[in-house]
Amino acid sequence: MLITPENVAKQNEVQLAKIREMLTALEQGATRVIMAARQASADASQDKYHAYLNFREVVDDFDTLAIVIEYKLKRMRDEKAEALSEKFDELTAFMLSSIVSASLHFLRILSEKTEMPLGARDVFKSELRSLYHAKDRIETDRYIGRLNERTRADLIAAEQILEVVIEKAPRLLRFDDKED
Amino acid sequence: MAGKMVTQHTRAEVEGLLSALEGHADGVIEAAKLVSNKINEQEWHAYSAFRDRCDDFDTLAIVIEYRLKNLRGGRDAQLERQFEELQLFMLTATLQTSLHFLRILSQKNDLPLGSKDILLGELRSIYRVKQLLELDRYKAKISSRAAKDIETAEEILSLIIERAPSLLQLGVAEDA
Repeated sequence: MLITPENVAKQNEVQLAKIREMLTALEQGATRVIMAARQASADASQDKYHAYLNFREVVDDFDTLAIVIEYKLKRMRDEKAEALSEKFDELTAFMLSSIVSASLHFLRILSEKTEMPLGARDVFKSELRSLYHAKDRIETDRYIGRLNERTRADLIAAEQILEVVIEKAPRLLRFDDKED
Repeated sequence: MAGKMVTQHTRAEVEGLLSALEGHADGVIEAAKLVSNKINEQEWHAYSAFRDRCDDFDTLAIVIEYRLKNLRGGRDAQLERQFEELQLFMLTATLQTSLHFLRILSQKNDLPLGSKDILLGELRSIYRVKQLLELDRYKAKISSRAAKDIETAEEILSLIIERAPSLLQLGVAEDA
């Protein structure tokens, strides 16, 4: 195809349509994460952790698609792409907020347990990492201005629960049996 | 939280944890070597052991970071430097390993089921590690080899993403 302004514009439109389609899929992915988190959380209260694996899988699917969209948006030099970038950042901030909230919930349930069976310990470690990394990302300039009051309160609670959980960590996680 | 008491930890406690973290780093390197050989033989089960080792390192590093903040007698620049060096070592080693896996996988036209999970896991890992290595606290300290690896990572990520979504099966229509 000849490189003419018309053809470049046409190619851009095709790419933008693809990215819009991916953003719709990402929104659906976000809904799946919220639903899976609810199920996993209900199960964890009863010491069942099977639904948790499904929750982590849908979070991974969301992350993978988000990486693809981010790269595609980076390559676009079109004004219309800016509106899509805005929507993408909104969606990512929403997802990170939801993950902080879900991780807080899981850690609260688990940190109240005095004995932790193997499955629960894996969930505990995974949620410790998830909360730490989601908090780290959401507190960057890119997302911090987009957070609502609820998420800001969650971040304060996250710091407190990380402190508490980490105090108990060597004993709960058995990093080093000599500790505590 | 008003009146919250944070336990302060001794230098010896944190030194013990840092030493355990070094042991975890060795474990990750060993597991990476093992899984690299297995990937060439198209055996994928060793991969989850490698990822578990990385997760253990990550979890312990989070614990140490918080304990370094609550050290009895205040912050300790030497321990913090030791921790940061270990983190940087691990990030660059993970990036090298991910690049190695992705090179092997990107040469395959048809990915069997197990390898697709590895590809997706490595795509997310390489993206996250690259973002961390580009933070100010590491940027000035990375070796020229690691800087080159970051460039390669960017190229490989672009290449794989160009082949998405058919390769990654993201549930959206294929690229034109």
